[in-house]
Amino acid sequence: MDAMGLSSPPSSTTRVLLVDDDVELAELVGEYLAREGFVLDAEADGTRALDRVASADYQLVVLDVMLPGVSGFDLLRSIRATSRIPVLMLTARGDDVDRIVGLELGADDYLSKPFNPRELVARIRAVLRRVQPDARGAGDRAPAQLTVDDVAMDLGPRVVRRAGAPIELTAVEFALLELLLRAAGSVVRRDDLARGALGRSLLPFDRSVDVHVSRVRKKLGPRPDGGERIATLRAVGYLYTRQGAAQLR
Amino acid sequence: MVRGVFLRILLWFWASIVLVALALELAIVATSTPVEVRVHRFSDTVLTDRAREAVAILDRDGPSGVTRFFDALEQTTRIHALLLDAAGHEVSGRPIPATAAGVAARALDSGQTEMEAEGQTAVKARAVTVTGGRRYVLVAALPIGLNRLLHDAASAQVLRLLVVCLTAAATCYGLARYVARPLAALRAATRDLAHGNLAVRVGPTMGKRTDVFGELARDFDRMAERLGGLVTAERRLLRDISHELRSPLARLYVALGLARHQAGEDQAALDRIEREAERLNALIGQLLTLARLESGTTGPAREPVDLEAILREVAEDADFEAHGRRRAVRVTETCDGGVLGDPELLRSAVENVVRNAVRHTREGTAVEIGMRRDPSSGHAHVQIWVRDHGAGVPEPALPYIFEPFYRVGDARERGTGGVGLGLTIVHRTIRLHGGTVRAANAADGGLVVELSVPV
Repeated sequence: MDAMGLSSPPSSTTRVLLVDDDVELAELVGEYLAREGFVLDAEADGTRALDRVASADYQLVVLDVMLPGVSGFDLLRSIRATSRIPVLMLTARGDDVDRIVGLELGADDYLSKPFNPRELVARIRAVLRRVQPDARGAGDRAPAQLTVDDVAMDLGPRVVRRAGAPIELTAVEFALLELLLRAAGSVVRRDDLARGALGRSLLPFDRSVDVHVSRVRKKLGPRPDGGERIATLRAVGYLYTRQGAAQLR
Repeated sequence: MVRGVFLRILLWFWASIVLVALALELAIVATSTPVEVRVHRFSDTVLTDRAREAVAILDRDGPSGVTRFFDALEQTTRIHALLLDAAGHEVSGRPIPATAAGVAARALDSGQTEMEAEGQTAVKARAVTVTGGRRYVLVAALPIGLNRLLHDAASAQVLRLLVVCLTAAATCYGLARYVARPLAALRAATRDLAHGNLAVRVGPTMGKRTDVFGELARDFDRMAERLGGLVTAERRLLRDISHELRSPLARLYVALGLARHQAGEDQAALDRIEREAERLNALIGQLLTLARLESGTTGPAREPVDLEAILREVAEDADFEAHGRRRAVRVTETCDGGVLGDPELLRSAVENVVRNAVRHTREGTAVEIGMRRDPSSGHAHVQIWVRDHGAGVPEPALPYIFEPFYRVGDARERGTGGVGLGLTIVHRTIRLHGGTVRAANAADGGLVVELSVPV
């Protein structure tokens, strides 16, 4: 179902899948995104949405977690079980719980619904920049490797290994860890993390960065010496600690 | 609570039964007839023995011996005795009361035990014939009635009362259980209902009781059922309306974006539409939050929450936001603040109060935030206070500022961007956590809001 009636987009066009049961909204969003150079397909059915994600035709999924019938969170979990495709979720405004649950399940960012379409485009671009290094002009840079203690990060194939074992990170988590590793041993401010990894400033009362960092922390586990890899400086930022470094209180 | 009702009923009934038994016992003793005295106490044989003994002492030691003997008798048995000879003279020369003389004469005539009751004393007399044909009469004054209680170790009465006490305790225990259990169940259910648990029912705990308690329980259940139905319907309506309003609003936003593309330079009207849409959106958001809070049938999560961290984060964010409007937010005191609760709800409560304060503080002033152990609760509560430097709230309006959509003054609120539910959400959240919210005007102007949450 090509809801927007746009046929055979050029291969360079970014294709976005919108999972939402509001057909009228999908039409409007499709029209808006078309002006911004995106192709949007809409899918109201959760199972079919999963098939579409598996078809790998899309660069990004916009997922309404308030789908009727199937829970958007279940869908998100299913997507994450097989794919690292960037997911931007739409949550109820003011519903911090939904938001945090979504981020913890591996969504890359969120937008509360109703949303400003400008903001939607900005978020989509920001998230895509994370997964398309060439889009930010990094293509001319030789693929580099970052290594801190037992964690090694290959920026080319975008792989993270801890003691040789690969660790699955989403695009945003990868970007966050990259920022922290580059600055290992010194504090990175929360807002800098948000701008670097989410492509936007933190909104007031926005805990996205904290949720993403806690996911990264969970996936990496403690340092071999038992210390916490990523230390929190409350209300300031985060710090990737090196082995043997004094624990920050 | 339950124990209280039970114990009170038990003790009241038990005490009244025991008191009644005690009174009855006293009444019986006080009105007991002299016949009983004759039958039970100081029997003929005893009288005869005492008389012979007294005569023997008289023969051996003379009148003074008799006096000593009777003194000793009075001391050990509380019985006052005299020994009269056949002519009616007391052998030791002591005075003879008229009653004693009369009874003694009768006893000499009849040869039987004679007696006469006079108030709380019974007078008994018995004649004996000793060697040489001499006849003497022993006259004894015995305490009877209430007097007897004072003089005797009344073991029978004690035993009777003990039996009454124990029987009463057993039956009152049953009675108290019978009354207190349904009362306690009803009371617990009523409290539960008051706390928002509309699913509470007492019928199942009553079994098949058909008495007034059973009726009461069934009435309560019907009431709870009806109440639950009404409240659920209202909440569902509110939630559905809010959700349904969101969809057209979401489309409106996107349509607005498309219109902006076409409008070119002149965006003023569209800006206005967007602002109004934002306002509508904020209102719906708060309505939904409120609906969620009110539907708190499960209560808030009970996980450890670091209030101090929340306070600092909210303060930092709000300070950042306030700087754009030439206002500031400062934390002036903190304490350790570990409480049990729902971190998201508590954060949003603190956030709402702080935002409200930022909206109302004058340009160039700072909102002050603090946190301390609440002294009025014996330090069992953590208190967060937020103080602005604005116009404050008129004293009569203070109790109402936590009501939904309450506006202190149209002009005051409209320019500040609040939609009228923020403080209501704060109030419900804190109440859900078992805490209290208080608002007061500071002595030198501005509003102080205090949130108290149990540790």
